[in-house]
Formats: sequence, C-alpha cells, structure tokens
Amino acid sequence: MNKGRRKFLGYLLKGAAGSLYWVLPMPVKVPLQLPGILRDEKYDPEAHEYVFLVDINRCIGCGSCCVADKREYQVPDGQYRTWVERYLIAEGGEVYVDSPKGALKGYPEPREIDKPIRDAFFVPKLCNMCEEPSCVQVCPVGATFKTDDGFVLIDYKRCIGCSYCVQACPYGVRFIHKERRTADKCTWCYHRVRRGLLPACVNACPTGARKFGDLRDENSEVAQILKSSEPLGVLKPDMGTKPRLKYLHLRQEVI
Amino acid sequence: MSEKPNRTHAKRIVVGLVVLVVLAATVRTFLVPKDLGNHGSLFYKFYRKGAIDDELARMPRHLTNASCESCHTWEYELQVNSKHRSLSCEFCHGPWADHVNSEGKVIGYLPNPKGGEAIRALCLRCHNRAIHARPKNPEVIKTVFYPDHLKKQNVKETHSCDQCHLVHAPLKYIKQADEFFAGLEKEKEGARE
Amino acid sequence: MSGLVEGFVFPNEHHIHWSLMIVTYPYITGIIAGAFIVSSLYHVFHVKALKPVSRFALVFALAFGFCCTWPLLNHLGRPERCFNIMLTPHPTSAMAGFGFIYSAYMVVLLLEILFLYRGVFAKLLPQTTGFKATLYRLLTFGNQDLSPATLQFDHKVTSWLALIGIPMACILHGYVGFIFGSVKAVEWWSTPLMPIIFLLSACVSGISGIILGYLFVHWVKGRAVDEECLSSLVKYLWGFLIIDVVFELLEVGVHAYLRKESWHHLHELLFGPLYVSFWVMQVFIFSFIPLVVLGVLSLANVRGKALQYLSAISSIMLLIQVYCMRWNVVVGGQMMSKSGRGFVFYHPEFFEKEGILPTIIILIAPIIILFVLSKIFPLWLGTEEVKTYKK
Repeated sequence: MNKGRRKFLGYLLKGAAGSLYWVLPMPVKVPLQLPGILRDEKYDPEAHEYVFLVDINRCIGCGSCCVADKREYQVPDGQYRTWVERYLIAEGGEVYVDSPKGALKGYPEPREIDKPIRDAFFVPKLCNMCEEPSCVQVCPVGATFKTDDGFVLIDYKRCIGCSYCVQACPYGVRFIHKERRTADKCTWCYHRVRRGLLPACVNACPTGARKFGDLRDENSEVAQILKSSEPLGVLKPDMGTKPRLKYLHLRQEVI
Repeated sequence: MSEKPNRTHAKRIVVGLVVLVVLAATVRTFLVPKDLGNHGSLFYKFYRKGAIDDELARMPRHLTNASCESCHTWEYELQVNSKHRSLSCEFCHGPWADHVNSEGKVIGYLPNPKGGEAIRALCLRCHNRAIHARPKNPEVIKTVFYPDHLKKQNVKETHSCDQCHLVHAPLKYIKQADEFFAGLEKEKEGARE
Repeated sequence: MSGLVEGFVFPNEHHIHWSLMIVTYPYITGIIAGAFIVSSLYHVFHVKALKPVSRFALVFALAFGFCCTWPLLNHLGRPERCFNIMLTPHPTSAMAGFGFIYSAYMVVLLLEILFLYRGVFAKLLPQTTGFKATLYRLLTFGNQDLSPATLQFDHKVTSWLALIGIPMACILHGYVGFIFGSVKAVEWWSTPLMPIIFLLSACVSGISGIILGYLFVHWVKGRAVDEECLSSLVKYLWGFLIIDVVFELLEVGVHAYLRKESWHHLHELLFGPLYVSFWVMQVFIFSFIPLVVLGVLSLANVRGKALQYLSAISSIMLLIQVYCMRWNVVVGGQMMSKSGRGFVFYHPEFFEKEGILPTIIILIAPIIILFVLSKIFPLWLGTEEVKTYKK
C-alpha cells in the first residue's frame, strides 16, 4: 500500500467530523449495509422503524460482538454496553447463568456442573430501546431521550451523573462511564446506522445471531422474520417498557 | 390595639424575594439551550435537539470488510469465497480507525496473546464444542473438541490451527491436499492398469 | 466500591451506584421534616407543652437543611452541572422537583425563623455591639418596632408560614420516598407505601434528634429539664414509632403474603444478605426495644432522671433505627440483581469519596452549624423572657 493513499484515507477520516444533519461524513466510501437509509435525499426519522433481533439458537458465545463494541466506543474496563450470558439448564430445571467479563474473552472453558445438562445456550444482551423507556421517564434534566426514529440516546453534555436512570432500567444496561462521569449505554450504534452501516456488534457477529434492520424495508431480513411464524419474545414484558429488541427462540428462563 | 402594625420588614422581604425570582428567571433564559424542550412527548422526547448531532459526530471506528478490500485485495478475495466469509476482518486485526489513523505505525495486529497462543484463543472462541454452544447444526458452524480433533487428524498436539488451516480460507489447503492425493491415487491406478 | 457478588448479577451491577451518600441524604431530609413538624405542633396546633423546644426545633431543622445537598453534590458524577436540575427540570421525573421543593422549603423555613426572631433581635439590639449588632439589624430588615401590633403581625405571619411549612416538609420528605417508590425495576422499592414509610420514619428521627439535642444542651449547661415538654415529646415519638413500625412491617407482610415472583427474590434478600441489618438491627433491636421503653415511659408517666436517661437512650436507638432503615432501603434495593439470580454486597471504605469519613463529616457538620447558629439565634429564650433577662 503506498504512502499517498494512506495519507488520503487519513485526511478523509480527520477532516470529516462535523455536525451536518443530512450529509453525514464517512471516513471512506464503502458499500452501505443498510441501503434503505439513503432512499430519499433527506433523512426522515419518522419513515424508519428499526428493530434489533437476537437469535438465541445461532449465538455461539464467541464474544466478537463484545470485543467490537468495546473497541468501537473505547468502553472502560469493567463496564459493558453489551454482553453475552451463558445459560445452562440442568435436568431438574435448575438454571445456571454466568457471564465472566461480559464474554469479552468469549467462553474458553466449559462450566463444570455435576448434574446432567438439559440445555445450554448463550444470550446476548444490549439496550432494549424501549418504546416506553423508564430510564428516560426518570431523568431529572432531560439528558436522555427517545429520537423520532426510536433510539434512546444520552445527552452527554447535560447529564449530571445522578444514576437514577441506572436504577430505573429493568435490564441493567446503563452505567456511569468512569471517565466521562455521565450515564452511558448501548446506542445501537446510532452514528453508524445513520451512515448506512450496521451496528458494530451486528457487523462482527460471525453466525448472524444478531440482526438489525428497518421494518419499513419489506426486503430486510428482520421484516421477513417478523412476518414469519418464528417465535419472538421480549425481556421482562410485564415492565410495560415495550422493548424494540426482540429475541428469536427465547426461553422463559431468560431474564 | 387599634395601632397599625409596622410592616416595613415584611415588605422588604417580599420585594427581595420577587427580585430574587426575577433574577433567577432571567439568568435561566441565558443558560438554557434554545433547542431544549418538548419535541413530541413530555415523557420521552424532552431533550436538546443538538444532542442528536453530537451523537452523529461520533466517527465509526469499525468499517466493513469491503473497506479493507481496496488495499488488501488478496486476503479479501481469499476470505470472501471461504467458510470464513461471515467473519469481520476487524475482529482479529483491530478496528479500521486504529489502523488508518496510525499512518502505518500499527499495521493490523493480532490481539494478545500473540503467535500460536493467539491463533488457538481466536479459533477456539467459535469452534470449541466443549462449551455446549447452540447451534448443533454444522451448516452454521463446525465445532470440534480440542485437542481431540488434533489426535483424530493424526497430528501432534502442539500443532496450532494455522498449520493446517489457512486462517482466511480454512479449507483451502485441505481441499488442495485432498485433490492432490486424489490425483495421486488416480495416477497410481492408471499406472497399474 | 465494587463489592462481592453472590450468584449471577448483570455485569454492570457489580458497582453499587447509590452509595452511603444516598443513604445519608434521605436521613438528613427526614430529620429536617421531623424537626419542623415538632415546631409546627406548637406553632400551628398549639401543643403548649412543646413550647420550650419550638424554636430550637426550627433552628435545628435549618442547620440540617444547610447540609442536605452536600451528600448529593458529593455523589453526582458531574456536580458542576447540578443547577441543570433547576434550569431544565424534566416534567416527568420524580427527581426533577428536588431543586424547587428544597429551595421553597428552605425559604419558608428561613422566613419563619426570621419573623419569629425579629422581635427577639429588636429587643436584644440595645445590649449588643459590634458585628453581632450589625447582623441583628440586618436580620430585622431594619424594622425594630416593638409595638404590640407589630409583634402580633409577626406572630400571625409565623403561624401562617408554619402552616404552609407542614405540607412542604411532608412533600420534601415524602417525595424522597416517591423517588424510590416509583422505580418499577427494583422490587424492593416499588411500593406506594414508600412515601408514607419515609415520612413516618422522618418524624421518628426528627423527634429523636430534638429530644437528644434538648437533653444534651440542658445537661451540658446544667439547666433544669422541662419534664412536661420531654414527656409529651416522648409520647409523640412513641405514637409516630408505632405507626412507622406497623407500615414498615406491613410492606414486608404484603409482599410475603402475595407471594408473587418478586417475593421469591425478596425472601432471599431479607433472609440472606439483609438479615442482620433488617431483622436483627432495624426491627428487633432498634425498633422493638425503644417501642417497649417509650411505651412504658408514656403509659406509666415516668418522670425524673429515669425519663431523661431512658428517653435519651431510646432516641439514640431510634436515630440508628432510621439510619438502618435508609440503608436497608437504598442499599438493599441495589443489592438485589435485576437478573433475580444474585446479590451484590456493598462495603463502603473509610476514606473513599463516598465512604464512611465523608458521611461522618456530613452528619457532624449540621451540629457544628447548629452551634454557630445558636450564637446568633437564642434557642431557649422566649420573646417575653427577654425583659427579665435584661434586668
């Protein structure tokens, strides 16, 4: 690779930052993973309905998603925007769950349990992007909110770090960022999605256990699955938060 | 007690309070961003519009496999036609932004531990059957027990995965070898006849 | 900070976010609300027996009021942005009201004290000199009129402010209970009983604080204790404690009897990591013993040294009981993982930012402030007695 080319790429990356609302800067031109997003010249947030699907049957617990996520956001150690849990269900119905280091290193060792195992599977966790997010409801300063296209985001410039949202989230996805000292959580990679890229974890998933797409795009994989008879579920439906994150083949043991 | 009470202190306090409230309200108008308010729902959309732009100003640090193609065509071609086509280049080699921003200092790296250990750690993240991962369907992924797999293939247990499997196209050399030996068999049979 | 873990907890839950600071904050607001209610019993409900402590209770509330925001500021990730809560309050957040409720309450409290003391200051002015005289002149807002009509006017305003103050004190603290009671994700918190429990325990801690403060000052200064006043304080304390304990146990009882899924997690919490601090300390030692002691004191109309010592001991125990209750609510709720499969333990360290030392400082500061305030506001002197004092 020649030097000129490398310089050119670097230039594009650095010079591109800015807050243009419609024409979002990209480091380099790549074929878009979410083609529907640039359908019209102007981005209309109301015209999209994004859904995140997790197929529990396809997750192999490799932790690629967690690694990609940590690198994309440079998340401090010990804090997790996303993680993968391992479920082991014994013959007697006892449930064993663990998630060492949030699966950042994957699951190199099998968990030893002296009972016969009926079923074993992995459950990736991330922000549920609720239709009625309790974290947003409780924020005292309006520093977290739902966008018109359904993303729950954080205003890092106004957050006071009171951690009320951390308490209010039923899914435990929020934390107080060690360096920024404000609340933080998974954003479904809003900055990538709006540029036509898949969320970093979806892009990194080797088995297609994580799927992301626009329901308004008839041909998208998520739209096809939602139309099919595949069993779909959400976490803690009794909380009334109406999560947009849906799980394929969810087992009732998963909380 | 027809005498009128002296209320000057009360009046002063009331005036002071009013001045305080007016002052606070004035200061507030200067300190609250103009784009902060109700944008559709008091419950869920009370926020500063600029926060969306702030979030969008974040640059993607990972790109797609296609973004690697322009410079690393050979590896890309290998991988895109192999069983490993669904893997992200950046998972093993680090984020695109680290690579390009460093202007050549970091030329793609393998995460720690390096060398043979890294290969094993990376491969076994996915191909380890001992951790009971679904799916059992080998169409999605082939898993093996380690080191049983090495024994079965009659190789030393110290071998690392990449001694047989090309990491970018795991079955390429295996297939080549199979074809080569199949060709030899044919030749032998031909010579016998 | 990030403590031990038992079972499975979500990876972000290894850290207890609401630390000792948030245990201390409702403790302080509770003392403020309770002390204010004691003074209102005299100023509004004319419980004559409480007259000796009516002023002390107000200044006591003020001293704690000054320190109320300290634990919060120390806890915030971004304390420099604390005014956002008043600049851009989110209408649907329970917490957003804090800034306004707290400042409005402090204004009412300050005004009540100023109107109550204006006459006192005016009378004391001729015999004071220097800085103190200037301060008194300022605090009377330049009106040193001592005519009966003006004093009557001050009295009327004081009564009205005390009247407004009662609901405000209840809101200030009941609302802290609502902050917890409205979190649906934490089973141990989300109950409509929470504001009531907070309010009742506030009254308990407030009255205990007043009893202890009153006795302490009188013992140190060697003054005679007004037993009528102390005895009625004890009776009020006993009454509030009965209702408080009933509601605290009712909450657990309802959970236990409903036996919903949440109870199965709560059961493990209450009979596991929270067993000592809830059952042993909060309920058995620090509630039941004072309950019996105060009952005997009230029913047998005990007087003399026995009343003083036993009421002082009960007050100390109840101050600990309320702190235990705050701990069990605030920390207990966070110990329970939202995964329902494990617990996080919290062991605050002595020197850390939100640890034990800052807590001790924050709890001692109001007492020092009270001492300073007592130099300005004569705590035990009625307006009427000033003349005899002058001789």
